[in-house]
Amino acid sequence: MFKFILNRLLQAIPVLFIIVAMTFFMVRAAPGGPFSQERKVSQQILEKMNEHYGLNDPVYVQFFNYLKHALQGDLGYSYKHEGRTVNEMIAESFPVSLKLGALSLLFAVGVGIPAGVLGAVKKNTFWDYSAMSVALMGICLPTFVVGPLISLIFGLWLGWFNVSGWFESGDVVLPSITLGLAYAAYIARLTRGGMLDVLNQDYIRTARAKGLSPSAIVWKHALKGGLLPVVSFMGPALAGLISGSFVVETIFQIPGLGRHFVNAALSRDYTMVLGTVLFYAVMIIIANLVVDILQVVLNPRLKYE
Amino acid sequence: MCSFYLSGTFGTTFAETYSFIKHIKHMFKKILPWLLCAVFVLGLSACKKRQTRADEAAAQGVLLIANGSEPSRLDPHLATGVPENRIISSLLEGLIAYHPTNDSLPEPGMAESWEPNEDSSEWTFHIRDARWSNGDPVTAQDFVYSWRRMLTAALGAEYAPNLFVIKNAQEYFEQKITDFEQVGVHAIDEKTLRVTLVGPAPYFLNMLKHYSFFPVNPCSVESMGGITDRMGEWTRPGNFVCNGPFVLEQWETNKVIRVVKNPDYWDADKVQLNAIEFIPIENQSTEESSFLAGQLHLTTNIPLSKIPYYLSNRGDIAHFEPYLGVYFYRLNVTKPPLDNPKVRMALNYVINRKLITENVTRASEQPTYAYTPPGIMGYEPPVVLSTDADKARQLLAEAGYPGGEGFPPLEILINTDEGHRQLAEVMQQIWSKELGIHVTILNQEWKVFLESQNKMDYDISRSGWIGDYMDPGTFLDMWTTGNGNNQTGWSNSDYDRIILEARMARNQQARYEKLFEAEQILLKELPIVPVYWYTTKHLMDPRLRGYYPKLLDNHPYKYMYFDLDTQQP
Amino acid sequence: MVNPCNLNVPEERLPSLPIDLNQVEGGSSLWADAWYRLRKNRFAVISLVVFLGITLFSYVGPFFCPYGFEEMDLATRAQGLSLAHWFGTDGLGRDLLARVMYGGRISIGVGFIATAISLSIGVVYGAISGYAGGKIDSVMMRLVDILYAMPYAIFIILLMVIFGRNIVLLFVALGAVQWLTIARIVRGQVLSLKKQEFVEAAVSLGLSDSRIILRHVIPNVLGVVIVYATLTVPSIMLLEAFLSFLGLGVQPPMASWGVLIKDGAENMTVYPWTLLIPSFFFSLTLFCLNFLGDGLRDALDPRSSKD
Repeated sequence: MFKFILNRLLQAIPVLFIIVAMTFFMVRAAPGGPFSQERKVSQQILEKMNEHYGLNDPVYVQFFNYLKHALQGDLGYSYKHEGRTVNEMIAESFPVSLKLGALSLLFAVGVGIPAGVLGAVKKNTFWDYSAMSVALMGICLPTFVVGPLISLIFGLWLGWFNVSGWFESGDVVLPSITLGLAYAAYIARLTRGGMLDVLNQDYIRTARAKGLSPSAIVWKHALKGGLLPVVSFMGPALAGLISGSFVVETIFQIPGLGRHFVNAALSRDYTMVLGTVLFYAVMIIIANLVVDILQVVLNPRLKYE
Repeated sequence: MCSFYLSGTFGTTFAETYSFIKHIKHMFKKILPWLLCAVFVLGLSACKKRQTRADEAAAQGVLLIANGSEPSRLDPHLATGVPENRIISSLLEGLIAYHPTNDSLPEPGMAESWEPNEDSSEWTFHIRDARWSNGDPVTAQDFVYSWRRMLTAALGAEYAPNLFVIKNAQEYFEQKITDFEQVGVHAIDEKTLRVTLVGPAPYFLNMLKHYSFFPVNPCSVESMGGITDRMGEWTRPGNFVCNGPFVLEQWETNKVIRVVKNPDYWDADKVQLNAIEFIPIENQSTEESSFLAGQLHLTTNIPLSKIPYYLSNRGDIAHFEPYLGVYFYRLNVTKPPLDNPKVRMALNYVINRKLITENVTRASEQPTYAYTPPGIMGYEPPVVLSTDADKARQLLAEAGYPGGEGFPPLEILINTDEGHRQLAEVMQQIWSKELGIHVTILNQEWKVFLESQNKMDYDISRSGWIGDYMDPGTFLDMWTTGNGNNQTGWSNSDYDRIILEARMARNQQARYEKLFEAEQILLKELPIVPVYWYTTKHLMDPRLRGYYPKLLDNHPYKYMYFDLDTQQP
Repeated sequence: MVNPCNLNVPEERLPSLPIDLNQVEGGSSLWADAWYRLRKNRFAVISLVVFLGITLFSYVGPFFCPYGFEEMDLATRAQGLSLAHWFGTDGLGRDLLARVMYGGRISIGVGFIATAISLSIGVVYGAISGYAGGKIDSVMMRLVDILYAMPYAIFIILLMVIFGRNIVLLFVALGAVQWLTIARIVRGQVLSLKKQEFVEAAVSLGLSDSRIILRHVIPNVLGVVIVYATLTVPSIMLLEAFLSFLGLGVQPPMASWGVLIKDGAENMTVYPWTLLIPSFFFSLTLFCLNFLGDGLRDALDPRSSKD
């Protein structure tokens, strides 16, 4: 396993390089620059501004300069938030998104897996259909509907929580439910599907024939295999969750990383785009690595490869 | 909802349903007393008004104000946006301050008094006995330093052209001269500043209110990065040396910026607020519900769909006020058929602007009859535009497209936004129905949109212009040939000449007459389709006082206070 | 497509085939058999009928509707449900029924085509990657990692700059991200299937790799794929709304369900029907697809028994 992890980490180096290179050139090719705005800036001033950020150099020079600094862990200054370094911005906002993401994940798994198992075990019964209908509602109602809706109900009408902001400990509740709901729905559906596949497998039939109790079969034997598709789904989902959600963070006014992802791209904040993409890529690589390890744990017949 | 629906269809027989209902009845009897208790408690808690964050803050004299998007920077010489302006104006004060009620009037700020020479081309300012928050006195040299900083090309200040009204400023900025002594700004002594302008500028005092003329503390700038540094280490909390009514205490990205009362401010006795929290909220619905939930005292906007409700029912909290800005469409005059003035006139005259402001934008905007918004003291824009669909059709026929026949399709370019989209949809309907021409809509992401507009890669493009200071010049200068903000390809030598003459006019009246003449040409040639003059839309806590309607939407915080006895809605 | 039921080849004994008495007796194919079982699933049939109804409503309905999707009447702005406007009107006085029907055309069309594209790419890619294993798997999966991390908004904007706006681009943009997760899920399934006896048996029988993947591996992952596909359709329909924001996709005054829901969400306290009605059709479609998907899954499951 150690060799496997080491191998994957070595593979990460070219992957990250390709991601940085592609992003670097893509973002510079996109129309509009970091300083373009409605009130036009004179060419002379624009040149001076570009000079501050080395944007007058040939692109390949800019690229190698960026690489040189990035290798030393310096992701440069943001263009939009002038005077703030990208490192500083990520360090500030990541803990917020991490907390939100972790709680959402807890909610999603806590609701999704039992619902999915229930659906599979009680297949085609009232329980199955109600669990799946609720899960479906989670998918039908996008975050931009759920978010305003629950903030309206629990924030404005009932007054149990703040409508927006990230000041009190209770401020995490509504956004993490909003964010978790969609994932819970996916997890429930995938768990049910996976469980159904497994419950028909020979080893479960064998276990049943051996007279093991139904609950032991479900929770000890079937769940392990049934979670496989969920685990594959969770890789990127996990990375997405902890690196923040633009919609939820915007609706609930949360100072997280998710807003930087989209806003940086929209304001052509080159360094910030690169910084967040790089950060997200690292998250993806780690999450997918963890998922691949988990797959082996859940299915001992597999080997690390 | 759906699970109920489904359970009903699931092979439940009548008998089963009946027993189920009986069961429910039984259950209900059991829990009824508890249910009643719960309702009672809930009712009680609803009666007792919850102490909200806004209540607490108002009692402490803390103003909670929504501030749109996160400010990019707080350096007054580099700032360009409205959110930045709201914060900077609490921290720094220029020679002339904003008057609490009337934007055309000068209010003494750092300058206690001033006198112009006879043709308003040279101004002498007497600086009051004021101190920076680090204890330094505010001096005339501070202003010389600050303006030199603005004009230092290497800094790359976007608003540097504002200062080109000063003699030799442009030459210095363009590095044609290197000695700042030759630029028309001099400290006669520590408290006297003399400013020589390129020509007569009766509007100079109004310009001075803009943050590009604000002073910065030379020591603090020099000790952290120096005159050309953009990174603004000196604007961080703890470093920011202020001369305004508040000092910067806290700055958390995307969360809050908090300023607290500055005890060293020259007029500190008048300042009643103890602190202001600027909360960046981009989403308008979030802003509105935060206000209603008692987390804010003042919002920057009202969501489009809620405007009619607030306008007709909530006069106690909703405020709609005229704003010095115009919403218009640019027409690309380099492309046929828009190169024909008759076509452009037809597009203009067919629009019933009143219909649009009453049914689409609905926030009491004023339909345009000219381009420059009304309200600038002494300047009345010409009344030119009107609605006349028959005349429009006739003009179109004269241009060679009777009934829209043979008219090539036009595309309205907008940036993604619900308001812009709705208006474009209405314009599309009007033009195609009334003139019989084919119009489509294209929405683009903001920066792509700017690029298209700038490259003139459009037919019709949605635009807006907000005045920086109270003067028609900030609206009319942009239409001169080759001006970076023209972006329509329109060029008229008479117009250019008259604008130039206006710049040389010896007094305000002569100047305004020239500008009026220029605007008439603009409205005859119509490279634009003015639609409406903006209003500002705010929700405001009724306890907040000292906040007055302002054409520039600039509300000095030093006059604001809370009247806690005000009846809550 | 694939006819795995040829009684003369040894695969017949492999468990990837439906072990079902009907099939052996009647000699019917997997697909015919699946269709037979699907028809017996009452819920799936209802779903299919309702779904076809919605499709018909969207594609044929506009011919019977007196209003166009762009036709506005500012006098009847934001009206609730009435006889003249069955679904009410929106903020500009446009008939919501017409808008929902036209929106359905776009959303159903886009949702299905893009899902089909991303499914075909994802399943094949994932199956090859998982089945091949080793270096090939590593390279293929790292490529997926790279694509995951691409800044999506910039990617879309660039696509538009390079290729201009056209409908093919919309599908590319939608499919580009959706197939990644499918590929990862399929790969995970295939990795575990590969170790199962029937695949090992097929390998020992000397069948070609492509044959094993197509006939034995993919049919066994279909269950999960179908479930994921029913989840992909709604996310694609909603993603389309985001693409509209970036300027790709349908242009105003036309609006898809995703865009209608997004607008409705902003007006939910003032004109609740502008949210509820498009959401209802969106949800109904998803419910149908979902139950249909479950039915299909069961019908195609080679091991499902009649217990």
